Amino acid sequence: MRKTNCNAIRRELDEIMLGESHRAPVSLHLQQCSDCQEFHQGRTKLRQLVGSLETVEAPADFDFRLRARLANEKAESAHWLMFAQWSPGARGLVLAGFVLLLGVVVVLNHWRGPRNNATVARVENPATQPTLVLPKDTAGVVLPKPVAPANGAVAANSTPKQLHKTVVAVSKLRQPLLARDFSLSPASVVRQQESVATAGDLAVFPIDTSYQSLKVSLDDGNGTWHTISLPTVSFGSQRVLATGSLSNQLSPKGVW
Amino acid sequence: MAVKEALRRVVLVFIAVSWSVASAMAQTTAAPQQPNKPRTPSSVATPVVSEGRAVAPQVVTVVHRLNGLKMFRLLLRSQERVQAIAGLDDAFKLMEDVHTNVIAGLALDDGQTVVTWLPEAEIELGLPTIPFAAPEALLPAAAWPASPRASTRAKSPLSPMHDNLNDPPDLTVIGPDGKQRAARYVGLDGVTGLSILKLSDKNLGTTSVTKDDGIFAGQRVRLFGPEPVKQTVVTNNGNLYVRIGETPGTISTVSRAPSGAVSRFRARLTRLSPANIGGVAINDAGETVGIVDGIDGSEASILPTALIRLAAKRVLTQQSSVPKPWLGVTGEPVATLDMDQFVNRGWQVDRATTLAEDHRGILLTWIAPGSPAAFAALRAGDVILKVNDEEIQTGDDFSWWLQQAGPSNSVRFTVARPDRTTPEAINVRLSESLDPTLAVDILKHRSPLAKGSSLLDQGIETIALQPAVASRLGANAGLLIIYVQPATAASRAGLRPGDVIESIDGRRISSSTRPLLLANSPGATYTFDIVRNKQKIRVYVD
Repeated sequence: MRKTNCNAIRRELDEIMLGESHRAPVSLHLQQCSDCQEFHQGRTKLRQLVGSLETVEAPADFDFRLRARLANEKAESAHWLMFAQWSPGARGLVLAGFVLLLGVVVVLNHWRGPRNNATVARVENPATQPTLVLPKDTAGVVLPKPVAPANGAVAANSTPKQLHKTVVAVSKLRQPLLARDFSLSPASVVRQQESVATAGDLAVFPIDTSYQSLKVSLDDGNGTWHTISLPTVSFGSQRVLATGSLSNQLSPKGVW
Repeated sequence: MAVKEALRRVVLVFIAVSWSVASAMAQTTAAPQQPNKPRTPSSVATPVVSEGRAVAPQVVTVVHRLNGLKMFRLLLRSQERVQAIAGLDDAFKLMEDVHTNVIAGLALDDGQTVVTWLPEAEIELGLPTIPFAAPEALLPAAAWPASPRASTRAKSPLSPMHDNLNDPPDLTVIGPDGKQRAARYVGLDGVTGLSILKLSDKNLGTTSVTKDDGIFAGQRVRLFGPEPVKQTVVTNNGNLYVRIGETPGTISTVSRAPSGAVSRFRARLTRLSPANIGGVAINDAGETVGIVDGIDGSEASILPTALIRLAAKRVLTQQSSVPKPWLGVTGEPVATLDMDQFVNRGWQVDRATTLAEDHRGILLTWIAPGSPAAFAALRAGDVILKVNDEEIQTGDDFSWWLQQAGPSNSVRFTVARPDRTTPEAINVRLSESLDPTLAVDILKHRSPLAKGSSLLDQGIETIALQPAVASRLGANAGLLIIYVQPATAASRAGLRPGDVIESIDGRRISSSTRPLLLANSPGATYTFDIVRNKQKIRVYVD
């Protein structure tokens, strides 16, 4: 028995009203195909069951409410279509307002430019932290005040030609990180051995040393000791120990 | 109605967009104020002026670190009276850094050479050299034989300690980009006192435009050099933070060599301290005009760029330190003296008055024993009027003409003497020294590097340890070796810095004795009992 033949017979069975007689070929098929015979019996019982139920009256405003709900769903799923549906005058006013707003933003940014020549990029959630893509010559930056440890990253960069230009670090997600809300979680500092920060407008370098002094006691050979303090850091020609003169000058204290 | 609805929508959209933009700007504002980016290397010397402050890209920061052994060497060269080390902080480590000097450097235009004025450069230069004159100093040059005395101490290496025995100079250069680079010490220029460093590759990325002429009194200069930053930058890792600071000043006087070139100039600075020494002076156009090499009264003394370049050329050509001519005297320009100083040196008032009115010459105040001046029979009280027939007025003039003669060469002095009515001509063969001040100090004042010189003559520099300190090294007492000169019998025998000599030829050494005289017999072998890493070792030095 061909399957396509069964399908055609069943479609015809569905279209026959309850109580109508079958055509001869259909009756013949039902006698030969037990599956279709079972299908026919099931559908006949279902029709009889539905036909035995009472009639249900629809509410008077059913039609209105149905159309209103359909309209709302259409509006929520496509806001932008609203704009397209506006009148030309309304659309023109909105565009003019938006252009005006952009102009104000550009002016404000330009006014704030010198203080924002290095842009801080932060990551709000270490677990979903995107990788920062920074210019190759970025050496890392130290923030001027301490922050809590986290896996976030801070980076800033500009070149001399970009002193008055905002540089935006971009994640691999191609999202400007400035737009992220980081106000609730502090970010940490990327700190390298060669990291550089600035204080005021001058570059600041870390040096692996610290201020302290080391005590050394000396025996002068006359039975007395004295203790001297040796500083661990000196700047310029500040001598660790007095030598009586600044040596190596062209004519130091008239020595030839 | 439609227009009213459109206006309502415009207002709503405007409010929504404004809120979004304001929110984004508020986030930017809420971010911590990020300071300006460090200046990257610039291809021009013109300072980058930012908010009224200048930045000199040719100025770098040089970090010179000294370990404990080098600190002891410094101690022996200081004014401290040292017989022995009696006590040490636990934090004082012999083989680790105990001191860091931070000073400015000038990056030359090859991006690889750095010129700096290292105050502790002498520590990196082997044993102190006492530039004794040869006994033949009075003989004609053609008759001079080899000097036997010059075969010992005078042969100290001019190159720094590039050997496997002693720690090499620990130098780091921090460029304008903040990157730290290891630098090699090429040598010290004895004439100027400048040290020449070389980076491994041409990656400093700075150029230096120098200004040799056009320096005049009243000209404004800015002095750049590293300075500590206090409490402005996070220091939670314990690091010290420095920055290139700026000190403005004005040139007050310009001195010229007999050739007419600027030999030195002085500047009044708004801040003046030893920390300014080594700073790089730059004019308003961003051109380098000099390096500060001293403080003279209330002014900074500045070496001009022409001399700086000559110094670099001398050292780079020889790839080692270049000594300066050494005469072996101290003195004062006549123009700066009063009458009493002449009279105290045996001068009669009338002749002294004549000399003082001429404002010529250098009054000698001390003659180093064994020096070229001593062999030439110069005496304290003599006044050198001319060098090779060229009149002398200032100390710089005198230095300039000695430098023109060069080390180990002969010069002719015209000398006025208290007991002679007419000036005399005296020929002197100059010696050479990297650090004449140290030589004078050793000969004139102090002894640790001069007295009992047998160990020094063996190429071994030591300092005595009291038992309390020696016990930290596993020894009872003795002499701590702080330097071993390469290519000596001591180095070949295996003596190393950090060893403690407990006895020599069975004689125990205590900190209170001075048993440094070794038997001076040819072919003798000395037995050194030393402690190394708390283990006793016997070493034989031929």
